[in-house]
Amino acid sequence: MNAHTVNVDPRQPHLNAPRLCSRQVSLYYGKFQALRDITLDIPEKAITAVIGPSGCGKSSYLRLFNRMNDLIPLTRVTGRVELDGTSIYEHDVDVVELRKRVGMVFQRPNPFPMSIFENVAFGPRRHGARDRRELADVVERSLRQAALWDEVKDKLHQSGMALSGGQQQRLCIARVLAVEPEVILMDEPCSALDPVATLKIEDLMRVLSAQYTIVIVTHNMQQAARASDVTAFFMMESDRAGVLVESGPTSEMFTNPRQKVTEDYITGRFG
Amino acid sequence: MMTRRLTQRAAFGLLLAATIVVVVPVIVIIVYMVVNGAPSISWEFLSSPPRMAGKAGGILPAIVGTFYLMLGTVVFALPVGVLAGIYLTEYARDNWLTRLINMAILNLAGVPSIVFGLFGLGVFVMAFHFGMSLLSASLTLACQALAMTITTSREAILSVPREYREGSLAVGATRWQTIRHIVLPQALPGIVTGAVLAMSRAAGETAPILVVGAAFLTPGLPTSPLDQFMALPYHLYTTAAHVPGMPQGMVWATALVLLAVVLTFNFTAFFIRLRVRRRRTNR
Repeated sequence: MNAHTVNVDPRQPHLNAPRLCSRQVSLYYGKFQALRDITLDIPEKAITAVIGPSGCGKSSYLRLFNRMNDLIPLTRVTGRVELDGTSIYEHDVDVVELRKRVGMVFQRPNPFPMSIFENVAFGPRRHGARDRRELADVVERSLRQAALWDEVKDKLHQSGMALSGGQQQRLCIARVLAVEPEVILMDEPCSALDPVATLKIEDLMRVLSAQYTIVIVTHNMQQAARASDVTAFFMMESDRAGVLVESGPTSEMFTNPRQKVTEDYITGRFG
Repeated sequence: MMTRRLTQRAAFGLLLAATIVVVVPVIVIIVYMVVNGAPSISWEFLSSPPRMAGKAGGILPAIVGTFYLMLGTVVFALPVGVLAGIYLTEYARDNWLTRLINMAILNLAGVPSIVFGLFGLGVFVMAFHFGMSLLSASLTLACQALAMTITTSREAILSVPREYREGSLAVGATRWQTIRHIVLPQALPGIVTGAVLAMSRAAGETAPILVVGAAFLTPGLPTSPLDQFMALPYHLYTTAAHVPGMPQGMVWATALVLLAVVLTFNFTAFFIRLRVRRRRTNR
């Protein structure tokens, strides 16, 4: 028997090849530097959690990967951000295509003021899907993937705004899944939800991570410990620019952090 | 202690007095108009053309002309206003040129209406050869209404929550798709409110139409946009000021009809806004 296959945990997602990566990335809003020299690899088909105190640039970092920061005037990025080894901040990058591949779920559930069906069909329709049956299939598949189908299958034509907060967030996940992304960015997806709804989303993330590369920003340490494979810890420096303190497999980060400041943060001494 | 309470009483009294000074004249005017005008309003008054220089007959052509004017104004002012509003909020960069344009739009609202009239006379009546006509008057009033339609469209578009736009962009919709399918449907009630208010203002304008096509008497209802037309405010002005022996009751009745038209539109706008606000807060 090959020595290599013995004693190896079959699930070590943190060892998967990197899908996204940032090299020496700095982000500026006008004169304010929000991120400084962030170098980090994000492994494929794993859940990477970005944690750190408020204002340390976690969300700004996440929004680099689908260029959502572009919407804010006077934003400037230096260094290299890559998806599959290709820089995504070149002039010839099609941002619309990028956002299709790199989906995003937001902090506050933001279903559109339209029916559940239309919420999920929104992306496919914008990308040219017309056929009614095809759309119905996509909607069903996405809602099943988001573990919402059984709860809403009889009221697909009711408003998405009438759902509970947790259901709304899963609807938003379904909306992202409907355009068949490869990466899903989640910006504190549970911060507006109750504990039961939060656990549902975490279970869902676990299932989805078999197929998708997931990056989640959270200020909930237990969530990072429970739900992620890799953890990256951000802090801010004296000029309020965010820096990466350390990153590694979640189990190690939470049991044996290399830096004192990481230990202080995850044991709740500040933050 | 006593002086502080007295001061407060005096202040409240002053505020109340100021409010009464504002409200009472409005009520007096409306009551006076109804008392003097209502007896002259009849089906015949509303449905027949004037006879004997307005001293008999009715005001049908003026009512019809005013509605045509409102329609013409909104047809020209609304599309331009919405498109400019979209451009200024969604596409224009925040630079000195944009700020200059915004300032110009705000100032447009403050330009005296007779100046718009002269502008219309020079541009639409003479340069474009539209003549003294419904078309020239509609375009003139549309220019004046632009300030309002652009401003209300802009505000309606800006009030659409950022979360919706981000949600749409995040699934790979383009900016235009986001505007078309998310922003505009949400902004529509606000845009309609602005259009309705612009129409009500167009109904009441007298000075600009005076020089671009309103007539004291026309031989019938206008049949083409290039015809001259009658309008309620202008009819009111001429019958009140220039027709000797004019029965006062008919003047008041014309004023009452004009006021009813304007107030109907204002209330419509008010209720649209109210419904939207309810819907927003219920969520």
